[in-house]
Order: sequence, then C-alpha cells, then structure tokens
Amino acid sequence: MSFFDDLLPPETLAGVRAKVVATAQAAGLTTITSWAKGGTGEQMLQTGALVAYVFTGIVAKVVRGFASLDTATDPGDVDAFDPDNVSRTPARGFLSWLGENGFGTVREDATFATGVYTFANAGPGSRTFGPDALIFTWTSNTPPSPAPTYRNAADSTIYTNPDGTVTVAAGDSIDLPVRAEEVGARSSCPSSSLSLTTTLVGCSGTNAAPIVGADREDADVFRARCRQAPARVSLGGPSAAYRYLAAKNLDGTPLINAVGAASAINRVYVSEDSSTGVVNAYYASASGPASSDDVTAANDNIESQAFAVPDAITFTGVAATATTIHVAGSVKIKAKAGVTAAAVKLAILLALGRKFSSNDFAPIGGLDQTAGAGFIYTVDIQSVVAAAFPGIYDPVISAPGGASTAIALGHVPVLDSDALDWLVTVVP
Amino acid sequence: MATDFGTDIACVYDADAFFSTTSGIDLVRQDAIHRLLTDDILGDDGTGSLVIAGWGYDVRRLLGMPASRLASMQPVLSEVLTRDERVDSADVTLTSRTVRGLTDVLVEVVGRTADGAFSFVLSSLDRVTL
Repeated sequence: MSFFDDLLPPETLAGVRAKVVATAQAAGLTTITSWAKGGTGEQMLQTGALVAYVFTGIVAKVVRGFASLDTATDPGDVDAFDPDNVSRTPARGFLSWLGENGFGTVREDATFATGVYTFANAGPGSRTFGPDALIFTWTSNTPPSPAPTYRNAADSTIYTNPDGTVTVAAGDSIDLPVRAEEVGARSSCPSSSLSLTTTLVGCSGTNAAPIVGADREDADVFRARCRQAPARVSLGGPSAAYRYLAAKNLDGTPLINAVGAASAINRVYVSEDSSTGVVNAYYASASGPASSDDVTAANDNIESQAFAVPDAITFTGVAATATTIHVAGSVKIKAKAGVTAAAVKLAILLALGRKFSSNDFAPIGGLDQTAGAGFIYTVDIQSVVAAAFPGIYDPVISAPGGASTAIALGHVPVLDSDALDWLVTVVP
Repeated sequence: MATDFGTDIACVYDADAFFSTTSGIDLVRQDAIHRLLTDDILGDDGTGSLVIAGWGYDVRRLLGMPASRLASMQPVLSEVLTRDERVDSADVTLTSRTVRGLTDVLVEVVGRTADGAFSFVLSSLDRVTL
C-alpha cells in the first residue's frame, strides 16, 4: 500500500469503531465490549467513534480532491470512493476548483433549456399575462417521464404594459421566450413538442424550433480538457492545443458559439503526422457529429491562436461523420423486487448511451487506430451491457455481428438502439 | 447479595460536572427512562449500521393521541422496557390530561428487577419525577 492508497479511501464506520474500542481497551477499559447498548457511557463512546469517522471521511475527501484530477469530484459526479456523491445536487466542488485553479480551465455548468413558443389567441377576447404566468409541457415527440415543463421567461421587449404584462388581442399571436423549469439537457426537446398547459380558452401554440439546454460538462471530459490545458503555452501547435481550443477559450472559459450556446464538442481527432503541414481536425459532441455552429466556433477559436496554427500550417476543422452502430441483444436476470424487463432495458440503453458519448469508449476513429481508423469491439459493448443493471447474466449481443465494427478516419461511432432491440428474460 | 446491574455515568437529562456514576436499581431506572425518550441510538445493529433503529420508544410521540387509544399503547411500552434484560417486568399507565390548556400524556412506570422495584413518572411538561 502506498502513502496515497492509505489516505484516498475513507475509513469504514466499523473500522473506526474497532479502532476506538481498541484504544479504550488499551487504556484499561477492558470490559468495554460488554457495555449495555444505549447506556450513557456507551453512547458517549459511539459519539466519539462517529465524530472520528466523519473526520476521517473529510480528510480522505480533501486528499482525493487535491491528489489528482481522477480522484477529485464535484457533488453529483460518480465517485469511486463515495457511492453517495452521485446522488448529491450538482455543484462546484474539488474537481471544479482544482481545474480552475490548477489548470486554468472552467467546468461548464448545466443550462436551462430555452427557446421560443408561438402563442396564438383565437379569441373571443384578448389575453393579458406576465412573465412566468404560463406553463407549457413537452407533450409531443416522445417526452421523457415525467414530462419537462417550461414557463414564459421575462423579456422587457415583450412585456411592455405599464404593469409588466403583455396583451395578446383575439386573432393575434406572439413569440414568447420560454425557459425550462428543470436545468439540464433532459428538457431539450425537438420542434413542435410543447403545448400550453395553463388553461386559457381559445389559446394554443407550439415551438417552431428546438428548445435546447445542456447538462453540466461531463467529469471525464473536463478532466481530459484540464490535461490538455498546458498545451496553451506551447509554441509548437500540439494536437492537445486543438483539442482544448475546440471547446474552451484561451482563458479556460467555455467556448460560446454564434447562437449563444456553450460548445458541445466533447471529442476531437487531430491528425498528428503530416509532411505537408496540413492539420485536419474532426469534431464530435456527445450525440454524434458536432453542429455547424460548434464547428465554426471551434475553427475560429483555433485559427485565432498563432501558437495553435503556426505560419505555414494549413488547418481544416470539420464535423465528424457519423458511423451508426445498431446494437441489439438479450440478457437474463433473476426475478426479485424492483426487477422488471422495462427497468433493465432502460438501464442498458442509458449505459450504452453514456459509453457511446464518451471519448474513452467511442473516440472519433474508434480504438486501436491506424492512420486514424480503428474499431469498436463487440466484446466491449457486451461488457457495458453486462454491467448496466445489477444481476444481469448471459448477455448476448446479436448486433453488431462480428468481433468489431470498423470506424473510418474522421468518423464517430453513434449508437442506434431502443427498447425493442433488447430481450430481457426475467428468470423466476 | 445485590445483583450487579453495572455502573454508568449518572445522566437522566444531563450529567453533573464530576460525571458522577450510578449503579444498581438507580441505573436500571435511568436506562428505562432513556428507553422511553429515545427511538434510535448510535451503534451497530450487526450490519455495520450508523444507528440501531427501534431501540426504544419516544413517548413524546403519544402527545395528541386520543385517550381511547392510549390504553392500547401501555403493553407496547411495557415490552419496550423489558427489552432491557435487567427489567423482569414493567407496568405502564398512560393518562391523558390537560395542564394550563396544554395537552399532555402522563406516563407512570413501575418496573421490577431481581433486586426490587423502581418507578418514575414522565410528563412532557414537568420532566421526570422519580
């Protein structure tokens, strides 16, 4: 065991209790283990053990927070040493502060989905309302459950009545900025998804364009960006500089594209060997090829930095091309409380979705690359499925066939799988 | 010869500055009072837990209970008290009363041990009467 191995994992409560009891026995309290539970002295001992346990946890947490990027976490992140951390409300913590203060890189926060709802009043009378007075719900295009809700956001150019309201005459319509009530990408919906929930007779409408929000920057993506950050001081245009500047400004703040959204690029491939001075970059987001707005923002940001694109270098950056991988199969699981085929299928789809959106599992060009072209291995997909829900056994992948799927240069693997692709056998 | 019921810090609601100790039937009475003021205690229930749930029964939860239901709680509290292996049996009487316009439940306990009986009265308004 190394110095850090001893300090990183927290002590267990049982371990602390045992140490406190051993200390008390060494001090002469030899009958301590036969104390009546609930007695005053016994409860004082338990209090001391509990305080020591909490303190050791704090010490271990602080050590993990500064030992490395891999052990530092923010509340809401998966923490290998603290199973409860992932359930906490997302907030800035050790990982964000280590990244910002040690690597000059800011972790992107989650954003509320925002967009425009076209509100139509068919009459018979006019309607007057203020900001936040109307509730909309995502009702079309397969909303998640429970369905996200939205409110009409404040806008001084719209709510121009002296009392801060707006009046929509009968027969008129108006474009209202709307904002989700729940932060994050879960409230992102396609066009024509919203409907008016507040009861207003004669009023209706929908959103002509998608409503878009973003989750907090993934912890592993942020860690990778922090490691790329030192490339900003290079004079040689290293590939890490391209990867970094594809989604971050030089000062480490999130790169904002032309439509005002933070760049969603989380995977970048940069050609690293050229005898002609040509550098090609391919960009992808968690859902697949990067959007045109993000590609433009990334290219502008990269090309504006002379250290990234030195003289005599020809740089091109484009969105990666999607290589769709249809994944299907079957699993078995023993029946017990809480185990349903639907729950297991959902867990499989969520696990695959997380992996296919990550650079570790599904980088642009795949794994084991030769000249930028690699593979996604079916056995790795099987491993993800096997670990998706406790108790799964005998996972069989029927698609993709073969041991691997080839991913060409500049291509990003994109998952194609839904509940109908999975057979879950619940064994009595 | 008196039965050894153990020795502990004398502390019904608080200990004195010297952390004086108590033993014998006084200790059993003190622990019985705690059983009726505490639902859970710190400790390992055998699973590495933080607390031992259901160790006692906090009688303050009886406040506001209809008088017709109080009688059914008496054997429940008797069983709670006899969880202490030093208590052979316990009689519990619950009386609903109103004091200065405030509803209260009077808890009268008579417990029996190998060395004799002990008694106490609990009231949310007047603390414990020994």
